[in-house]
Amino acid sequence: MDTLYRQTREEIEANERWLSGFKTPAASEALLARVKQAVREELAQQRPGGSAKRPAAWHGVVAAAAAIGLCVATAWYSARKGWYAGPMQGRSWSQLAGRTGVEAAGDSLERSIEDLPSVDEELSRLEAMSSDDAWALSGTTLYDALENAVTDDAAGKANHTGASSRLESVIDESEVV
Amino acid sequence: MDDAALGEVIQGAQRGDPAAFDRLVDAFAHRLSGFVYRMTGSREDADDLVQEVFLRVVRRIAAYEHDGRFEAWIFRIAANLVRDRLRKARRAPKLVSGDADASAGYQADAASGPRGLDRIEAKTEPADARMVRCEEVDALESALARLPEAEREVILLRHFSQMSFRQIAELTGTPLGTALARGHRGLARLREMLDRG
Repeated sequence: MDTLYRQTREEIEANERWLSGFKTPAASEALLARVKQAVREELAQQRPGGSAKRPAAWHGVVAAAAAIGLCVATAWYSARKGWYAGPMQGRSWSQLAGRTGVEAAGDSLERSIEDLPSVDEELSRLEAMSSDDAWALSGTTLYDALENAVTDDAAGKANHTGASSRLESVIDESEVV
Repeated sequence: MDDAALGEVIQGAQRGDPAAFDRLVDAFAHRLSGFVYRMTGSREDADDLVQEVFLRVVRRIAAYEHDGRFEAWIFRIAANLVRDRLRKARRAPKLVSGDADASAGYQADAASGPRGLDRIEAKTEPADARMVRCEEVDALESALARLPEAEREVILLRHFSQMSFRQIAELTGTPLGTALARGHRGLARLREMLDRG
C-alpha cells in the first residue's frame, strides 16, 4: 500500500513539474486596476452611510403598504363583482366612508345577534314552506329555490321582511348612526 | 508574502483598509486569474470571475479566521464560482488565442509563488520563441479542455494554488483518494495527449 502510494505521489510530482513548464497568461494591469476599483466601491457601500445595496427600512414600509393596498383592492373588486355575496354586495365603499370599519362592523354584528331569533323563525317558516307540494324543486337547485322564496316573500308581504333584506337593513341602519 | 505578512494584511482587510485589499489583489489575482482562465477557457469569464472573487472576499473577510489557509479559502471561493459559471454555461472551453499580441497584454507574474513558472515575458521575448510558446499554450489548452471537469479542477488547483491534495479533497467534497486519483489520472492523460501531439 505504501509502495503504491509513494509511486503515485512520485508520478504526480513528476507530471506537475512537467506541467509547470507551461506558461499561463497573467492578469493584466487593467484587470488589477478594475478589481481594486471594484473592491473600493464595495468597501464604500459597506461603510455606514454608504449606498448599501441591502434593503433599507423604508423598503419594508413600502412593501407593507403595497400589500395592504393589494388586499383592499382585491376585497373591493370581489365585492363589486359579487364574488362575495355578503353584506357588502351592491354597496360602494363610499357608503361606509362616514364611519370607521371597526365601528360599522361592531354595530352590524350587534344587530345581527339581535336579529338571530327572527332569522331562526324565518328559517322555520321556510322549512314549513318547503314541505308544501307547490315547492317542487324540479329543474332548479335548492339554494335558488330558497333564495327566490325569500325574495318573493319579502316583495309580496309588506309587513314581513325576508332574511336578505333584513341583512341589508342592518347595513342601512349602521350607516345612519 | 510570508504567512506573518499575510496575517497582517488580512487583519487590515478585516478593518476595511483599502490598501490591504490592494495587497491581496496583487498577491493572488494573477494565480486566481490563471486558474479561472484555464478552467473556463474564456478571458472575459476569467476577468469577471476574478473580480467577483475579490468582491466576495470583501463581504466575507470579517468572518474569516486566519489559520494559515487563506489561499485555500480564496481558491475555494474561486472554484465555487467557476463551477457555478460552468454549470450555467455548459459550453466547451474555448481555446486560448495563439495571437502573440493578445498574450503580450498580460505581464509577467513576478509574485506568483513557488509554482510561478507560468509567466510570460512578453515584451522582451524573441518572436520565434514566443511563437513556439503560444503553440504550446494552444496545445495545453486544447488538452485541458478534453479532460473531465473534475480532473481539470484538481490539476489546476494544484498548479495555481499551494493547496495539498487533502485541502483539495475538502474543497471538492471528495475523499482524499478520489482527489489523488483524479490528479494522477488527469495529469497522465494530459501528458499523453501533449506528448502525442
